[in-house]
Amino acid sequence: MAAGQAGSGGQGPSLGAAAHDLRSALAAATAYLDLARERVARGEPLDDEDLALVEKGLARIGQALEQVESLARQAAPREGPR
Amino acid sequence: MTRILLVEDNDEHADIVTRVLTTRKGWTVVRALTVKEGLLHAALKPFDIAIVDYQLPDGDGLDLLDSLRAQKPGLPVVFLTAHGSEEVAMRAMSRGAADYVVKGPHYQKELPMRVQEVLARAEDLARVAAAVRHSGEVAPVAQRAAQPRPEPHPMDPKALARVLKTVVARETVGAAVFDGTGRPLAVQMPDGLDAPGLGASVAASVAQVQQALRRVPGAGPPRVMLVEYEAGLLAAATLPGPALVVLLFDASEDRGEAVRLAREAAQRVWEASRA
Repeated sequence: MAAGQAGSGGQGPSLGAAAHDLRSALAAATAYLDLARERVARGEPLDDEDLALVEKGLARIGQALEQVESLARQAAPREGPR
Repeated sequence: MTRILLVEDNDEHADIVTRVLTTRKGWTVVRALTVKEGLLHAALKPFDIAIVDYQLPDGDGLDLLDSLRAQKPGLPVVFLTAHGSEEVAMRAMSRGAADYVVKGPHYQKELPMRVQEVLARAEDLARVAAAVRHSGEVAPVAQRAAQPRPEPHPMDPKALARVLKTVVARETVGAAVFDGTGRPLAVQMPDGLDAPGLGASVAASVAQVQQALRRVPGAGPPRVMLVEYEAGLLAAATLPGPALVVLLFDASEDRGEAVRLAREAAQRVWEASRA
């Protein structure tokens, strides 16, 4: 479940749900990297799909991180952007 | 052929799990995205195991776990939880999940091993269940187990101690088993287990188990059942109420398997006490 789906009544995602998304994205990207590493270890060439999966995983981490940052800013508005 | 039902709404994790599991020979994965879809698949197709994510779009994995166990009591379920949701995993275990895996970094390496272990346990239980069905009821099985063995083997006290140590180490199991059950102590020693030196070893080990369990606050007197290997399998599968089943086994038998089965017996007791 994405953080955007969390919560109800139009309250939007919670920081906890966003953090969950971030961890999930991190776990997925790590898994894809592991799988790519295992392929290389077996002497198999990496193809575009392998790299695209890793790239996609990293992009998801970026998105999740942005969401966490946004929510953190909302939670502490006086701190302001750095 | 091993048929795996995966209920996971996240595309990336579904892809990862499918990739790592289908590298095993003969393993196939059918994916469902929701609780409803998972139940539909389970109703329409035979599966050997289900892997269930906690957070699903139309409900949570715990509800799905309950429904699957009601719909397919023999279907083992491995629970997937997010990092930081270990408490959810414990709830899943108490509600009958066979195992759980936390979706942290590198979890894809752990998952196939857990699935393999759960499948092996399920096969053991299926064999036991078949034996019980074949015997018609528990009583004849107990009678058969009580019959003298044609070729008695000397018991191995060291191996026995190892099994008992495994069980003793799980004091939390004892707490769960005996907290509130109020069942009386009953130590049963079947005939034919009195190899030289074994009696003292067993007595000491039983005392050790009891002492460990007595340290658990609020725990009643422990009910320990000592049974032979084969009867232990049957007891673990068929005992109606909570009991701590300690499996004794011959030196000639597979110790690793015995330890694993002892753990499983303890787990079953723990689950029964939580039901």
